[in-house]
Amino acid sequence: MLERCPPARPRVLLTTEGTYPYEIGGVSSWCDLLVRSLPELEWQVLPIVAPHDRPPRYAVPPHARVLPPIEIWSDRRPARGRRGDLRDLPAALVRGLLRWDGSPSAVVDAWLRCRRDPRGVRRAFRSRAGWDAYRGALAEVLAERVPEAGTPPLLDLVEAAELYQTLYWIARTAAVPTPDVEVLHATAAGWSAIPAAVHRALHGTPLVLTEHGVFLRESYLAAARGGASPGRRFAATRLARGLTRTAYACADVVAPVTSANAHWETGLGLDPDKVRVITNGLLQAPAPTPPPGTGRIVSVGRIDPLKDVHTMLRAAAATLQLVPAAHFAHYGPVTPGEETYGRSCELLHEQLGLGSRFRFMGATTDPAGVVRGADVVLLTSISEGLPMALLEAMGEARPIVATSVGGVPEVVRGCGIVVPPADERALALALASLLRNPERAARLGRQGHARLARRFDQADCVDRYRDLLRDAAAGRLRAPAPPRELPVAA
Amino acid sequence: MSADVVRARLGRPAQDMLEAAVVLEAWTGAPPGRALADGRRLMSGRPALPEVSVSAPPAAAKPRRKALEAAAFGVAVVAVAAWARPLRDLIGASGLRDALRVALPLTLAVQWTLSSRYLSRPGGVATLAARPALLAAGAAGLLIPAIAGAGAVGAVAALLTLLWCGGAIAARRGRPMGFAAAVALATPPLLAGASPWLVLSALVLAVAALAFAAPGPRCLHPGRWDRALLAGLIGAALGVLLVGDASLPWVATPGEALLLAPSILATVYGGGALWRLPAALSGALVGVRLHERPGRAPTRLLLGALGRTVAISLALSLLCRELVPWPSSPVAREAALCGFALLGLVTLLASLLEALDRGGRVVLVLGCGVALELLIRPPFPGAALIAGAATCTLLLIAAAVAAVARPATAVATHLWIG
Repeated sequence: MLERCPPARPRVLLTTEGTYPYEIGGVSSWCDLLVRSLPELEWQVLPIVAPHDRPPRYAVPPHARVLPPIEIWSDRRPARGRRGDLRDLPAALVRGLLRWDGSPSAVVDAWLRCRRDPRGVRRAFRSRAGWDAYRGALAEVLAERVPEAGTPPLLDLVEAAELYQTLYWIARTAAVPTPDVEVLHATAAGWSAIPAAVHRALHGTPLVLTEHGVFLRESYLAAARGGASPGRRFAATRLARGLTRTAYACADVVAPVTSANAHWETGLGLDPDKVRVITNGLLQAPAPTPPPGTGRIVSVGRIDPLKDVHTMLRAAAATLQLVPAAHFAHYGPVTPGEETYGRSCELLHEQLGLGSRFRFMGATTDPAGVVRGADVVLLTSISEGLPMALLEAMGEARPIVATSVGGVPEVVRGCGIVVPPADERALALALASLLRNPERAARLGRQGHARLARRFDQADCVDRYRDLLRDAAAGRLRAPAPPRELPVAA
Repeated sequence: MSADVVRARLGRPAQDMLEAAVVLEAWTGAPPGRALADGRRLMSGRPALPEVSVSAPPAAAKPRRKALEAAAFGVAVVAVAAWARPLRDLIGASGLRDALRVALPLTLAVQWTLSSRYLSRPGGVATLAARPALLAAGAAGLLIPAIAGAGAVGAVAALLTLLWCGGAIAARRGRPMGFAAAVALATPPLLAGASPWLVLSALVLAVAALAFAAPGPRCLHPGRWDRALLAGLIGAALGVLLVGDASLPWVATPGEALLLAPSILATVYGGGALWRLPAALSGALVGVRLHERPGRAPTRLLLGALGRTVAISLALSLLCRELVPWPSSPVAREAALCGFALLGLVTLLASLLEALDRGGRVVLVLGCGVALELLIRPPFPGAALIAGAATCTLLLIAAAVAAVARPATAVATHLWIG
């Protein structure tokens, strides 16, 4: 039997969802850094996107190439291939993904069938038998009574049909062929893990999963604030949970960007042995400049409910009562799809009478520069992984006032003040105390600058990924599950 | 305390332990481990009764400007009927008949193809307009073989096809009255003896400008080619059904063209009424539980629209019988009116089933209808058209009722899975 020689440059399949290379943002910047900084690997980027006609926002280097994206919710037909009988597929997926104790291996088995018979997926979902079996399976899921799972709501047929459509697109995503590689790297525990999980099950290729946030937590937050019907909320969150559990079960290593995320992941059932925290990092900044001393407070982040801009505005109003000379500048665009929230922020700004004391500055391409012009950097999020805005603040030796969510306490230790989320009074007091005590503020800033060099160095972050991916390519991670023999090359 | 925070933040109890944990972490700053433990503890009580979820009703489809479209088609039909004499003078009565027998199926095939791939999508016209090479190749592909193969007759057929296709695009863009006005303005010069080649060519260019001027934003993806080609087959089959009955004289006089007006106007009305059917199908599922049977509102809407279409067609046909002069036997006129009315229903039903992604069945049924029409030996003029169209009507009504009688299956397996 011939053994295949591994290529001189290990090939990595990087799967992304709604980020690199088509959207600007934290995850995309991280992908770009990794791809550019590791030319010893051959990168193949597989984006999963909603249909759009935008060109890529990032140019990939010569050692990387972007594969044709997987378009979900599009009109395109599935890839060619066998057309088997998959009429039980919708029922298998709803059981595997939505039951509280659904089986990740059953989900992967169903996805493997999609890969083997890509044309059968559409046929199955368009069949009356597929729909009837799905309804029966969904009724079983809704009849589940597990105390910690709460009581599932009684979905109506519109919600059931919407969920059916989403499962169809999950199956379509699983059916897309993936190239021959030595390492799989998924960038979230959601949709981007689907092709990677199927590829791993087929070939035993090691799978590394990086979570910047926690996909499941963010899905719950989105559902909680969206005002959706109980049925839609249930379907969205259970689906996210099913995808996450499957991704965790398939991953050989999960690399969260902060240990706070690792606590969530292990709390959700991830084997602690699989966790390898790799914090993000920043290039070492030159010697910091002194703060302007004008009472300027800067925040950087999208205008999004997760950033809790409402609390930021109320905190600004409360701060201005304590320090009338203070003034605020927020840099960041409104998240696409959150325009209503953006308008509510403008309305609240007006109601609070903040005027020119709090200014929305729009997007910035120079976060370090805008932070340099601050006396204090503010962050009021209700969900964070490891926010780059805080690392930028530390790079410029600016003190931080931030809410204690996600990896924030771990970052801000000794270089700022952390207060409970959604507590505008505490935020205002923290801001006022730093503005009134510039020496303390300067000391915290200097400590942050030193801490950045010690703990959040970009080169260190890249080195750790280099080691991890090399180990994976060389088969030095945990022994992967034996590959499944399937007649179709994926 | 935790339960109060969760309820205050959500405005309701938590759905499950994870939602409770996420809320506790996000709004109290509890570390993940404690938040998860507290979330689990909060859910440890007696299971609540299931909440009844009712989705929001689907947005109503934007109403089409039925009256305007109907008026525009009416004006266009009357005007084109008036062209019969000058065109007959140009290429002869049999030439005109042949030109129409080619132009009508071709027009319907192109219109259905374009509609499926471009026109039925927001921004579809702009996407089509952005492909001038495709448009030019299409026009040349129509004109050159037609002229090479059939000379003047072919040229008339090709120009009429281009004109009617341009008219359909203009109507879809909300400019039906512009199309009608262009056609009406072209009629006096034609009747006054101006060169039909000149007038028809100028009219085609004017309607093309009307169809493609200021196209606006494009759609992301046009429809699939396979589905568009299937739609084109449906259009072609409808056209063949329309002109396939050799016993009908086919536009030797303006009156014969006018016989099409009742069914066209009724079909425009019926199409407007059925426009609401996809929304009615999903609307019928709102608040209906998994094991329950949805209401019959979509079936009622379908049958009501068909009934009203028949009534309008009947009333207009009776009016037409009284007003339109007819040189040959009255039986042929009444048979033609009846056949056209049935064909209008077939068009309506085919359009509905195609929208529900059941184009394959429609092609099969129309194939049967066309075969019957072509093979039958008609006992009176128009009988073959009636037989073919009636067969298609019955089969398509059965297929349409079967599709809308199970709204959940139709929505889940066909409307929402493309």
